[in-house]
Amino acid sequence: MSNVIRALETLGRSPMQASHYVATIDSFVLDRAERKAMLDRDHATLNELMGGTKKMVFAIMAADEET
Amino acid sequence: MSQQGSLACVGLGMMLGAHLSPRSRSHIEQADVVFALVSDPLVELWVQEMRPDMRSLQPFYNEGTSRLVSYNAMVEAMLAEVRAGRRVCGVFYGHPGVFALVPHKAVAGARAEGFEAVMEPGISAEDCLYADLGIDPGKYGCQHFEASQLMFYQRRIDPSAYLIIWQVGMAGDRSLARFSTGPAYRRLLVELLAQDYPLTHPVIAYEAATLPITAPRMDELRLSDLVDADLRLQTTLVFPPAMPMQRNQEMLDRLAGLDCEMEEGKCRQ
Repeated sequence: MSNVIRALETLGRSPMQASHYVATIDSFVLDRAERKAMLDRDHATLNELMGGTKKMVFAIMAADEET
Repeated sequence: MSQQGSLACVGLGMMLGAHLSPRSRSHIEQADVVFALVSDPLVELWVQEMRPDMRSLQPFYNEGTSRLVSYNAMVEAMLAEVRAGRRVCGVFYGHPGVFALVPHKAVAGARAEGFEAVMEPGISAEDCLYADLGIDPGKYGCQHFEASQLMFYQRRIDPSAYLIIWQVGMAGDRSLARFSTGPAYRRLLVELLAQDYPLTHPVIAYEAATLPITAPRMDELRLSDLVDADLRLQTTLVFPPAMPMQRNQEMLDRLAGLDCEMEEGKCRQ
């Protein structure tokens, strides 16, 4: 598993105080840009660094199924 | 008789790593084929880390084509694998049964063909909204409408209850082929809502956090601001009540009459 995703999964699993946040991030091997994006809580940059899909469409409800 | 293929539509919850239930994770890990439709690219990568062979449902969307066509194709892709005898897992963000046509159609379709099909609930944006905004839907009642459906049909809004409007970024799209509509469409929505709310009524633009490093969006606007506000696919509008609940005195009197009759009956026994 990518270390960024692993770090996010760990953070998602256990809410933590700010002081522990940095320590948790530093417990994973991340490159400088990834670490900075994590510390800045920069979702867009993190996505770019990870090569995530640029535009997500996720509506799965139709207002009118008869249209 | 149930055939070998099966389908499980499971909810991932909203936040990466935070909301996935053990049962849903088991379905993802044990399935022969996994399809996924999620709301955040990093969440999609997370699912891909769990199942490198995961098939994203993103390519089924095509702007300019009715989403109903895309939805049917998604359902058909899942059912084709079920018919081929595979254990299929459809992974959906939030709750797979809340404002979600595809998982419901897929489960119903599989069952209609004699296959085993289940839905595992997840934590939806609605659930996150109640926690983040401190709202209890039981306090005054709570109405939910899909934005376009609210515009297309005659509905009765109760302004003494909470009102929650979903998919507001695409409000008024009759074609089902666009991923967003603009201010002119929202102006009509505001006009409609202004029949029940003052233009100065507070409205919260809400977006659940999808990563543990980000916060939910909870922007307080006024109804009149909605025309030009930044409203996206994932934005939900929350209207607090605009008036106190009105007591139904006629019903209360009838209930009191029933209470009297019950009391009298007790005395006679």
